[in-house]
Amino acid sequence: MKYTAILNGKERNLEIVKESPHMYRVSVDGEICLFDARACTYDLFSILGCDNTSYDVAFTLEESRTHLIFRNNPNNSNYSFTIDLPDERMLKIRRAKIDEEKSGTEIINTSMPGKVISVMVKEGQNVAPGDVIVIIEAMKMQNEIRTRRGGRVKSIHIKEGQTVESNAELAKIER
Amino acid sequence: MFQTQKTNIKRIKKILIPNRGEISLRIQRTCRELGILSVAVFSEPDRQALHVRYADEAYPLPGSSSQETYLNQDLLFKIIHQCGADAVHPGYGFLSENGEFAQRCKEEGILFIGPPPEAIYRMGLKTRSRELMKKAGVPIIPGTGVLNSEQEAIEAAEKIGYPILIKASAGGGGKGMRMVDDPSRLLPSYEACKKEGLSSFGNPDVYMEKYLSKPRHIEIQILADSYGNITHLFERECSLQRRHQKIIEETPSPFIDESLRADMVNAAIKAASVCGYVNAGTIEFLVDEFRNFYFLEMNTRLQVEHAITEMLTGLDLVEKQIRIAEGEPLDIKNVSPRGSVVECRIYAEDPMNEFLPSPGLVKSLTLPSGPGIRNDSGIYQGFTIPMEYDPLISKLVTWGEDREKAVNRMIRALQEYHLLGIRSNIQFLLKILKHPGFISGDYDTHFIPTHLSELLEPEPWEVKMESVALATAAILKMMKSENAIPGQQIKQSDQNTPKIPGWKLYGRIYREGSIIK
Repeated sequence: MKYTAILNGKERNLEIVKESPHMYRVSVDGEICLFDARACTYDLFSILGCDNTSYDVAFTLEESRTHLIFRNNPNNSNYSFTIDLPDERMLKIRRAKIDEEKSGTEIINTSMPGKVISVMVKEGQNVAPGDVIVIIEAMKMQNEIRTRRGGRVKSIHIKEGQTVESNAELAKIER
Repeated sequence: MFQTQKTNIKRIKKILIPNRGEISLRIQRTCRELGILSVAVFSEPDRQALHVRYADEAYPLPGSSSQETYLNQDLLFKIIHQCGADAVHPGYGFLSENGEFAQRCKEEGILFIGPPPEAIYRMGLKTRSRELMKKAGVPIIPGTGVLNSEQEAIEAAEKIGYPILIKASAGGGGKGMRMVDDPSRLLPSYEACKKEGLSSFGNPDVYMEKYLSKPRHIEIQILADSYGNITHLFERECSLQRRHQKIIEETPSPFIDESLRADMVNAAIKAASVCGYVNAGTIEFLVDEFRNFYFLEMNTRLQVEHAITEMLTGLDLVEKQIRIAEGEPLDIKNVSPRGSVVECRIYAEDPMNEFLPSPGLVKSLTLPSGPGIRNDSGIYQGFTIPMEYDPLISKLVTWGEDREKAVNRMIRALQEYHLLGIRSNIQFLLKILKHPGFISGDYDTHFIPTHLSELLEPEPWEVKMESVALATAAILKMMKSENAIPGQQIKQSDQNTPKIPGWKLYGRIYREGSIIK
């Protein structure tokens, strides 16, 4: 199986072959490693890597998104990852969005979920770099979301009083 | 040494807690151990919160704003009388330092588990408490009372010596405060501070203080009974702050020695004594690099970080608070501190994204366990952390024989703490704990802003981990498509099974059986 994965905004190429009931040969951007992988519970997973490193992983699976935490490591750290494995259709939408951004449209989104306190602009309005587009509030903190590049407000996708998830698209600004 | 009269003791049977989250749960746990019933209240977004599920009784406070709910005194008193609670424990925040609320409890015959309203009033306004401390001989930061004119401000600044701080009288939490290190900036800052005081706190009064370099925030926990007995439970070092919000606390403080501790403890007891204090309270001090200490303010309530004092002394502070409120004299003799304790505040926030709050669904939660660990939290796996309240989700406390062992245990505990679904500051906490400046114990309140970029750098190993994480995601995807993950396939078939309420089914068996004919 071949997958395209997205981690930290970058596309990565994965190829996976099941060698025997619990052995998986995985190539990440061409680098190959053999894993012994067992699911322990519905959200815990044990993997032994090439060099017999034991990885204890907590995970949650969504439609096309996987959240992982590596529970044991000699660094005494707490590593978590969010990885997208979109299907062809979603990959197309994502690439189209990147093209749109490249061609000059800025997509305004929020990394913080919360309630839309106010929409500071109207469709068609001209805005300067750094202008506040939307104010979102969560946990007694207001976050002013600004346009980086400025331009003309092409579309607004939310209303005041509405709650939004993280990464929600709020507005589009065109040059 | 302590008086031991046991008259006037009135046992509490039921406590209402006008609060939410971990502190409500914390109080309820002691209530249960003492055989006291606990009553929770909840706003609309908190209906499924742990403090509601754990309580003996729970009453709704319709709405979601704090004014409509946890601060709604009229409604709270209605519920207090309706449920027959004989006492109220306010926790921290919300109504805990509201003198009017304490006064009203008194008038309506409800025990307020905290200080008398007069003590709350005396310590509530900063200019007032400063005057009181000055009279009592407790060291205060060189400064002024309320400034009445620009001329007065200029003269005061000359006398104290730059740099100085201008502070709003009614301010707090770092708001309404300005540092001035150049005489030319004095008047503009004075005006700005007055404006901010008026707009944020409804009071334009400002005063001036000397600005301390390398200040440490160290506080003393005290307990006072109704008979004038006051005792202390040592200090808490709270210098690790971000935007005046404490993040890591420890006790004993790595900075103070026996003689400084003795001086601070005596000052704290004096402070509590002159304001007529009863119950648990905390006197906060700023300590400069030359080991001079100054009164900052008194918190007339249980502190968020009280758990480290409990781990150090073995005492239950909520139990002490309840007994004091019931009229028992203090019975604490020879409390000796044991080992070293650290607390980390785990927040639902994203350090990599300007520390923006991260409310939402807790998809997976594994808590640390093993020797020397305490976790006070109000969340659970499957709980949606509401966006209406502050982002504190957990207080993780570790005990160790000495400071190094307590810190290493905290690092181990944070590594075991797994939270999926929302962002947290766990990585950030780990970076602080491993920083040489923290390890040496030589840090002040500027530590986090000074080292922020360093503390936000990802660890180099994380980059190497990316390949393993990507491979894991691919394996999981394949396993899922083959239905090889336990629990996940059950979920799928669940969707196709018609839901029959359990009690209905039970009722049917019951009727068809031979018990009821």
